Amino acid sequence: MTEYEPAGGAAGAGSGQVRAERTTVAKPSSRWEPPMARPGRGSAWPQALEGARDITPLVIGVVPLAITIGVLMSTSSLSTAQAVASGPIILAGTSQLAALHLLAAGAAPQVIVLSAIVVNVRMLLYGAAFAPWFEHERPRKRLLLAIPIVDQLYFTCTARFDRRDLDGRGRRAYYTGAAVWLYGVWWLWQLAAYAVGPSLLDAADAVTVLAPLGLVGLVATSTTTRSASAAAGAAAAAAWLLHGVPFNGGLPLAVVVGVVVGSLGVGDRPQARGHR
Amino acid sequence: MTTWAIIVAIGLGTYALRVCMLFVLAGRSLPRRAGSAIGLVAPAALSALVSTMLVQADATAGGADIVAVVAGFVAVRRTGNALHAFAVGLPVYAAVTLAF
Repeated sequence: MTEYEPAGGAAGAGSGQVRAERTTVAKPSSRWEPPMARPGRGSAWPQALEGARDITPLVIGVVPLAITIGVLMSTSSLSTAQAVASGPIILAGTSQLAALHLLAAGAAPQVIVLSAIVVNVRMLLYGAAFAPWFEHERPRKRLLLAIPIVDQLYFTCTARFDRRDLDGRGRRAYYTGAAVWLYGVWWLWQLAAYAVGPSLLDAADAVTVLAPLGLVGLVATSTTTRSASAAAGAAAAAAWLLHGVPFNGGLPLAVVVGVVVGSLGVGDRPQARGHR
Repeated sequence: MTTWAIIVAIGLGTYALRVCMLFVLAGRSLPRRAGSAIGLVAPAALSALVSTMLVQADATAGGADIVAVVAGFVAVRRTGNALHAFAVGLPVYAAVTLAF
C-alpha cells in the first residue's frame, strides 16, 4: 500500500521533491511523470495480465451469482440458444436475474425490459467515472470500451488508473484484460450451471430463493448511506403494497417512490462513505 | 420471438446507459444532485425486486424464503461480503423448510 496517493494527487504535481522517492515498480525514475508521459510501445500484455490479476477477487465473487443465473435459466422457458446468448448480450447479472424472475412470474414484456434496465442505471455513474480516462480515445474506441462497463470493472480500474502511471494504451490493455477475465469466467460458470442445473437441484423449491438471496446481498452492500437506506426501504414497502398491479407494473413505480424518498433527505446525509 | 426481443432490448438499453456518459461528459463532470439521485436508483430497484419476489413467493413457500432473505441481509450487513447471503440464507431456508 505504499502506492497510496492522497486525493488530488495530480494537482499537487508541483511538490516534486516529496514525490521523488516514490517511484513506480516498472521503471525507477528520479522524477514524477505526468499521466501521458510514457509513450505506448512494446507489448501490452503485462498490463492486460495485471488487470486480470487485480480483478480476480471480484471475479470469484461473481461465481455464485453466475451459477444462480445458470440454474434459473435451466428451469425457465428460455431455449438453449437464448440461455447461451443472453449472458453476452446483456452483460449484467442483476438484469438477467430480474428478467428471469419476472419472466417466470408472467410479467408483461415491457415491465421485464424496464425493470431489467432500471437496475443498471448506476452504470451512468460508472460511465461518468470512466469518461475522463477515455476522453482522448477515438469515438469508435469509446463505443467499444463502453461494452463491459460494470461494478467490478469500475472498482478495479478506476483505482488503478488513479495511480496515473499508465498511458492511454496501458489503460486500454489493463481494462480489457480485466473485462475479458471477468466476463469469461462469469459466462462459463453460467453455462456450466445451465448444463447441470436440473440435476444440481432436485428440490425445485429451493431455486426460488436463490434470486432474492443474490439480490439482497447487493441491497445490503449498496445501502451505505442514510439516503440509500431510505430509498431501499421505501421502494421495498411500495413494491410490497403495489404487488397487486397486473404484470408487475408496481415495480417501476416503487423504484420511483424509493428514489424520491431517498432524495428528500439528501441534504442531511452524514458524511457519505464511498461515492455511490 | 418475444423472448429474443426482450433479451436484445435489455442488452441495448443497458449498453445505452454504459456508453452515454463517455460521450455526454466530454471533460465535464456530473452535477452533484443528479449524481446522488442516480446513486439511489440501484438500492431502490434492487430492494423493490426482492420485495416483489418475496410477496409473490409467499403464497407458495410459506415464509421460509422471507426468513432466509432477512437472515442473508443481516449477515451481509455485518460482514460486508455479498456472498454471505448464500452462505447464511440457504442453510436457514433449508432449516425452516424442514422444521415446518
